[in-house]
Amino acid sequence: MTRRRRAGFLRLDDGRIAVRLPSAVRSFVAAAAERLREVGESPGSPGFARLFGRIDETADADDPAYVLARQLAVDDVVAAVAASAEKPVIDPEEAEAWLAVLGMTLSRRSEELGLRTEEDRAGITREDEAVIRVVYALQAGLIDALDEPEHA
Amino acid sequence: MGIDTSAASVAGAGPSVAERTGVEADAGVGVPYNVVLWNDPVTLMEVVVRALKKVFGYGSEKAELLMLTAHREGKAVVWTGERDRAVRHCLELGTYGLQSTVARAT
Repeated sequence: MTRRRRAGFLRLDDGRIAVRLPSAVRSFVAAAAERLREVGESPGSPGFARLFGRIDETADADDPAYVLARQLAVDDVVAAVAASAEKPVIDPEEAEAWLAVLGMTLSRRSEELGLRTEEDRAGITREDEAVIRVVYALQAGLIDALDEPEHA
Repeated sequence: MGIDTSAASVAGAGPSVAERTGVEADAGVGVPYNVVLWNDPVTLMEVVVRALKKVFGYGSEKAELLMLTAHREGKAVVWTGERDRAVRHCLELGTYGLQSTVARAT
């Protein structure tokens, strides 16, 4: 777990959140959501194993209801982000979906990169590290906007 | 903040995931289970703290302590209770990208 900070979200008087991000960053978020949807359809992939891994350590396999619930959870947030990625203002529920997609994106990517310890990050490419830092900035900005209301 | 932060409420539409899958109706009553949060090398501490506050209704101090326990020791028991609720909490933590499992409390 790591500490980082800030990016372009502003809580408005009506509780919604203004999104002040370049179109390239919005596209990045939309693509991250789409990638999660694809991972959900690829049971053999490392990302799938991370996102849909076993919940109950004491059972041979998870109850199918849990597996379905996880799938629906991913589908829900992916749909919410796809619908709001280009909006100038999003509501708090959509912001939570953005946060969810970004969190699952990091989780998926860290599994694909084989990261097991924080020291492992020293071995990833500059591009992958840049992606992680973009996600951190977006997450920190969203949390700030959701937890510490500001006013335009 | 309560525990009503199912994935559906995160997305903000329609019936909850639990309602659609029957997860909440699962058995396991009476035997306590732990929700175990696992450390990972990429998740922001702020995200972990926020997730613990939202999912379990913890205050900042407790959420931060549990986060640091997982960070330093590799894992932390973040909740104990009925199995069906433990599983539901795992699902909720998963929507933040966090790794968690349930295990029978010893």
